[in-house]
Amino acid sequence: MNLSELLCADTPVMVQGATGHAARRHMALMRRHGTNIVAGVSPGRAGEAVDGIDIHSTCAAARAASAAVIAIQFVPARQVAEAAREALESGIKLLVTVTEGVPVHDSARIMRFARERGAIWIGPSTPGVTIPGVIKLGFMPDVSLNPGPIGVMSKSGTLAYEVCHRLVRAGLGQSTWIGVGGDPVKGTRFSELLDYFGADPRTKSVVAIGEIGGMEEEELAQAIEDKRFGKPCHCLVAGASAPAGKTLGHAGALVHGHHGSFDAKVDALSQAGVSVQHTVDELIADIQTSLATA
Amino acid sequence: MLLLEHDAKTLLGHYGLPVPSGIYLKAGQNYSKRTLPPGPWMVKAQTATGGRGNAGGIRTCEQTETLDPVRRDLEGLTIGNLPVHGCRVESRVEFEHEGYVSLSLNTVTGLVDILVSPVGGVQIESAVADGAPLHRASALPERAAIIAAGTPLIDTLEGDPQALHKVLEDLAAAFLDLEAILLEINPLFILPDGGCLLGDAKLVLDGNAFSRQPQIESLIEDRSVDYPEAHLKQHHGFDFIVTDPNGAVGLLTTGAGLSMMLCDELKTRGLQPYNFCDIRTGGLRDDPQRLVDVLNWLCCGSHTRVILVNIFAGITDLAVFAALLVRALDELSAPVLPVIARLTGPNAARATRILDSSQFDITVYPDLGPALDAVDQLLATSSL
Repeated sequence: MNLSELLCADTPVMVQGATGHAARRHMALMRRHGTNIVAGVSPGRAGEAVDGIDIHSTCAAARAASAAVIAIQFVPARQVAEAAREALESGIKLLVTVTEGVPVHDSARIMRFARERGAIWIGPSTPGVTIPGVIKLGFMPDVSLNPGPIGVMSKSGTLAYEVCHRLVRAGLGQSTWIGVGGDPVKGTRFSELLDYFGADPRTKSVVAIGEIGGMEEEELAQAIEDKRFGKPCHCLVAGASAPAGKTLGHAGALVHGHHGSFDAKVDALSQAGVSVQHTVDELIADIQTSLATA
Repeated sequence: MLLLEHDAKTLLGHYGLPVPSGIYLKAGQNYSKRTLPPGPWMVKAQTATGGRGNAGGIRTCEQTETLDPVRRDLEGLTIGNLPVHGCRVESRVEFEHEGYVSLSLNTVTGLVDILVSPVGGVQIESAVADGAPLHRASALPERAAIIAAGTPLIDTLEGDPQALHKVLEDLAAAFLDLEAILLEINPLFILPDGGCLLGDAKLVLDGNAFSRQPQIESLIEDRSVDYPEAHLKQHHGFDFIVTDPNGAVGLLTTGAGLSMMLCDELKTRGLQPYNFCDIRTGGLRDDPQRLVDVLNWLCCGSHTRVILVNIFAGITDLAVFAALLVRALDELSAPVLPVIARLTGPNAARATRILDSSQFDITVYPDLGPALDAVDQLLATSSL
């Protein structure tokens, strides 16, 4: 199944780590948004229920009882890899990992295993994935959500909250918002989302919210050129003023020399025809202008 | 996190890798001649950055009499914005050739990339651009797979095959065991007898894995001066980095990306942020201590004149946060600077009332733009 087949209001979802404090709270918020949560998984807690959702000890049991095809993980960082393996082995097609601080070698293992299984992995360290008004897998704040024509992909959760909040305030909204996370190794990268946004009839233009470090923005620029991506693309790259050699919060936001630097990203994106803006206000104004022109 | 060369070499030595004899001397530290490795020496400034050679951070030294003057010269340097807190004094190596070997975790494939070149040293990139061979292979992050893929590459180097194979095996073990993201040996000295020594070692480790790497945790614990950000995170559980010691705007903010963008926008307005901060409001747990620490650090900045609080909360109850902020300001040991706060999220109206009615100089805005305008205005007014 591809992402557009999976991101539907009725797609059954299981929650790993469902009996934890944060998971309980976000399960309620996700359900309020319309997400079809059908099962929870917490080892040793089979037979319990959280807000009427049955808890199972294993993903296999949860799958057997509920036919869930999406799993969202609310599990501690050190347990993510094992929990991911279990979810993918049970037949999950889309795995979303919101947990921060997952060891990078663990992420590499999950990434390879998800590919072997033909599953999509989003995260780690992502606020999630949402189609406003349809499905929410994660914890994007409702104040930043509104159905609309902008496809949003972001490394940073909080910067995306800010951008999407201002989109909403400007009377705009999101067709789909996908947080890929700020870690260097991740399940889904910006460039891998172009086909989804390109084919999605709700998406009129795409916003990539990037930051210094890694090569994801450069890969996106290359993919836009290679695929001759036809929809307008806008980008914000955080970290222009960051000192070299310092990791600013996100594990991936580390610059060595020119590699992963702000200038390298802006050059590559601009060359691919992406409109790169330097402040959130400029980005919103640029999107409005582009939509008005279209 | 990029380790200092000395620490990387010490760690790699534990894996059996051949490292020139050397000691680490902190800036100004006295030493006994008996502890020095055999001379003559290379004296190498220890900063966690590349380009030390080009920045004049590596010097030769023939006699003990010149060692301290050379150290003093190096300890006065700033390389890539980083001050030099110490030097590695290392026996100089007479070598036949220089080679290059690296293992890195490929973030796209999840495999280990292996690179080997018979040309090493500071000019490796330009040498490769000019046609010097750079052999590449990829392998699963498993010791046997790395050795199988890397052996044909390492065999292209001129040296004793047995010594080279052992280097590859030990590098693979260290890379996997330490959960490295990059392990680069440049140069790899090939000695006249065919043996090898690690000339320089660049080791980038994954901060997310430190909690299961006790030897790295203890290194960070012992060396707060050399790894201040990692030390702070290890002790306090969040990120706080002084990016400009002369900065005027102290930031108490949450979210890495938003905090980075905020620093950029302040700079665009011609304002100087003092720090980067991702305080993680979810980790406050009804205890003001984390806020007290950050506020104290900000108020101690020699040029900080205003504190900008920016919290875009997903589920954090801002009224609870506001009450904690008032308690923290109350407990502050340093003089309190004016606070401009932007709060968006659950219970923002109540949070605003709590801050407005406090005894402190706090102005609250629901949006970031007006909050930044207020910071701008306050600094302009107070500099008159």
